[in-house]
Amino acid sequence: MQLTGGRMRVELLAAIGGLSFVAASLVIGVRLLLLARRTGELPELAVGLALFLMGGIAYPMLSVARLAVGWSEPLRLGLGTSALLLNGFGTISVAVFNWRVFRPGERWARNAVGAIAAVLVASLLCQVLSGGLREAALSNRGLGLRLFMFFLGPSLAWASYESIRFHGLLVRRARLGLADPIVTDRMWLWGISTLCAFVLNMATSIGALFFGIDFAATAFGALMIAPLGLIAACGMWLAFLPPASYTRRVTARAATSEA
Amino acid sequence: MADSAAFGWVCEQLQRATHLSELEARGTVRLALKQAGLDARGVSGDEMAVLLRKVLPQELTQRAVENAARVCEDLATRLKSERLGGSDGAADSKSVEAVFRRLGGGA
Repeated sequence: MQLTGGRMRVELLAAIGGLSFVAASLVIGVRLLLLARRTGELPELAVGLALFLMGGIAYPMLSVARLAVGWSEPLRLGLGTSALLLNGFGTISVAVFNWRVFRPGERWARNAVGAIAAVLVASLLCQVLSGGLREAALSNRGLGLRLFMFFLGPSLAWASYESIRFHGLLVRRARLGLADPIVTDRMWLWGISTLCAFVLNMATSIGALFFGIDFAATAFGALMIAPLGLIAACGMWLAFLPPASYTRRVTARAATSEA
Repeated sequence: MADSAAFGWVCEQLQRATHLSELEARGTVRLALKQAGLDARGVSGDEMAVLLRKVLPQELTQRAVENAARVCEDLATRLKSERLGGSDGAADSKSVEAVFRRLGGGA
């Protein structure tokens, strides 16, 4: 009985982590898409689409497709398949953001975006030709699906690497008064949020690919999802919708360290 | 991508004002840029002026350049009149910092 209670608490924790991630992705995704409509700039469109489609829509949609067993199968299949496609599209948007913001003039970065899109399409085709979309969307099974989930990772790792690297440069610039402390902090928060999303993605993919386990359904998985989901959600929130008290604190901290 | 105009100008003037060769002058400025988290391709005149005042004097002193602080101050002042000041508006709005400033709601 105690074990059941413990298990329930772990699942509740995971749900809180997962739901905060979904809520933050939805709110910030919409906000960035509205910003993109106003400015007409690609970076905000790309990152807004990524957050809105992946964290805000695809993640809960896929869970509903798999868990709402009482619903009609065509509806669940439609939801599940749409979620996979949205995940792919969101991942490509992250890659486009990385390329256009951090490496705009570099051919390898443009090629990396193409390569990420190509392997995602190839993985889905592999799934269609082997296990079928039904297996993937409703039962979380199939080699193509495993590969597809695995290849969602590189875009996130790339985003995290670029942001944390650039944060290091901004810290050095800040010492000379050449960097905005709020932008410096935002870069760090985005790097940490994408790192958390990458770690979760890798843990899920490796668990499924090599050990055949549904990571999110294990106690260890739930224990990881809770803190990482919360950290990613808080990081995104503080980066893109920071409360005035937080920005004041960041500015004050920077002023103290400069002095 | 080529080195920025501000970088080229400072290296050339350092070479004239000190005993440093072209290679030494460019290497010294590159090291100072690295220390400051900047790079030769994107550094603006304004950033270079800060570098001249806050980082390069020490770097030049280490290379036995006499009156390093005065040389740097002089170059920083002249740099202003060279109109290599800031980067142009269009390029600036696409810089990593400008993008992240916008994403947080800043102009």
